[in-house]
Amino acid sequence: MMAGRKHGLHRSAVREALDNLPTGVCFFDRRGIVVLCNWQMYLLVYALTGRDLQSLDEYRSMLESDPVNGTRDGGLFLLDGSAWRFSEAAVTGDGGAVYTQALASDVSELYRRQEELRRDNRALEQTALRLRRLSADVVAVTREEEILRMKMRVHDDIGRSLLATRQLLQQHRPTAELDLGAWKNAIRLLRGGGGETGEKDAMAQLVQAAAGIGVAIRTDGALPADPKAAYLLVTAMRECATNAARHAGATELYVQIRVCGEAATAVLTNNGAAPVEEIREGGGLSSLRARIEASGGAMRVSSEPVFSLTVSIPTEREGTICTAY
Amino acid sequence: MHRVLIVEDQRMTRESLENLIRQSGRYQITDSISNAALAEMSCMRSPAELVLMDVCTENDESGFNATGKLKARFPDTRVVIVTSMLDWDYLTRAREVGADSIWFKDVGGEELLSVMDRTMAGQSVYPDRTPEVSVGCASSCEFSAAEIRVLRLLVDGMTYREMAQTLGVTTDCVKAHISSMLSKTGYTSKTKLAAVVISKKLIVNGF
Repeated sequence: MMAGRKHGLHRSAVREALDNLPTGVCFFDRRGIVVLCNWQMYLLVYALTGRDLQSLDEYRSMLESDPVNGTRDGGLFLLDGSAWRFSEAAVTGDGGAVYTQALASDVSELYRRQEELRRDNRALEQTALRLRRLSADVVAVTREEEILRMKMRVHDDIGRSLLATRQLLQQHRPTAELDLGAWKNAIRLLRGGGGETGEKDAMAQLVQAAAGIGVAIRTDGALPADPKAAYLLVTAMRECATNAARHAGATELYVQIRVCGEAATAVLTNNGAAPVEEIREGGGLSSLRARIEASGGAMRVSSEPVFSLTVSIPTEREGTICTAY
Repeated sequence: MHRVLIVEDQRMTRESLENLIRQSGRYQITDSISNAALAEMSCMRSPAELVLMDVCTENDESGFNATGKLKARFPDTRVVIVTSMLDWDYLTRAREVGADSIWFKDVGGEELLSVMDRTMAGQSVYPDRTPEVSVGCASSCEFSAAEIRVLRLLVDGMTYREMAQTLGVTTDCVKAHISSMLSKTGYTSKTKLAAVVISKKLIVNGF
């Protein structure tokens, strides 16, 4: 419009050129009245609002609302298989008149590619998730394979023992020659199915192991119901029980556990000698810290007046489990 | 009689090891536990001369970490890593933590008792490489160290860009390694490659 006059073009030629543009264009004057709107913009606005475009206010309100036809996806309008992005800019014409220029750009190809990318990313995320699951399962699968192989071996042993027994009986030899040890071993291995790992839970195992090195674990409060948080607390107790026996000559480890909301806190002390100097975190304590911090928790070591370790661990599941040690 | 600690989380395997040791006539069991993290306490209570250490133990405790701790505290205790995982890095990891020997379960080769005897005699029993398995048209021995580093991240579900950032190389370099592995194995997808590598236990992350 403005450039057209400058170069001596007819208004109708400018209009025609604008109408042939695949982009929607509309100019509003300073009062917000439409001064020029091309065919594409007219069609778009009519499709989206069901009305002709009259003013800048109407145009802006269209951008804020849901369309009559088509849908929106964020800042884009989706209409008849095409995606449109609207933008606004101030332009200054000859003589300093300021106009608002509204543009509607066809971004269908870009939108389609973005959609494809989103789909690919979702598929990749799913694949990554499946791979991570497979990776996590491989240890369990291996255990099952080992059990199966073991059972097959035991069955072979039983078969051999059966043959030997049969031979013995056929030859009328004394039954004292029977290899009862092999039978007993096979029966013991097969009894109970063999799928389980430890017969006791981690806390019970720790209490027994600590008693073995002369440290009684005295707990005040129950472990959290969240198994990961509970095991981290058991890990902290194990580290402290080992250190208490080794460095402080302690015979008792005191563990005060409080589970409150989404965190479990434990304060660990012992009845051994107080540290003569400030505790430096060596291999055991620093790897404990790494594990606790990796779970989003915190750990504090204090050397005065006595050694104490305070750990705080976030819990995913509320509540506690009953333990009495 | 040499005193032996068994660390194995699977009951049947543990009891089978116990039987083997009882029947050997030259070893006796000091303790038999399912969680590697308790090995140190066990050795404090009843010092063992030899530890049979599984890698993936109860509560996901690593036998490698436990071995490192044990060797630092009890340097004279011999440790034999016992594993059915064929992870390429396990030989290196075992050496790094100071394990005296490593024995791969269920892949034939030398008997465990013989490995234990040789270890107690002061030998370090390490195969030159992890037992060979096939991955598509390739053998597990045909993968380069750089390719294995890429695979390790791939099985963790990383994208090309994440792998490149983690390894400090370009994405083109990562892609080149993956396409080299696909060409060796004859697979057409990197997901299939990762899935096979996981199921053959060539990469067992987290221990």
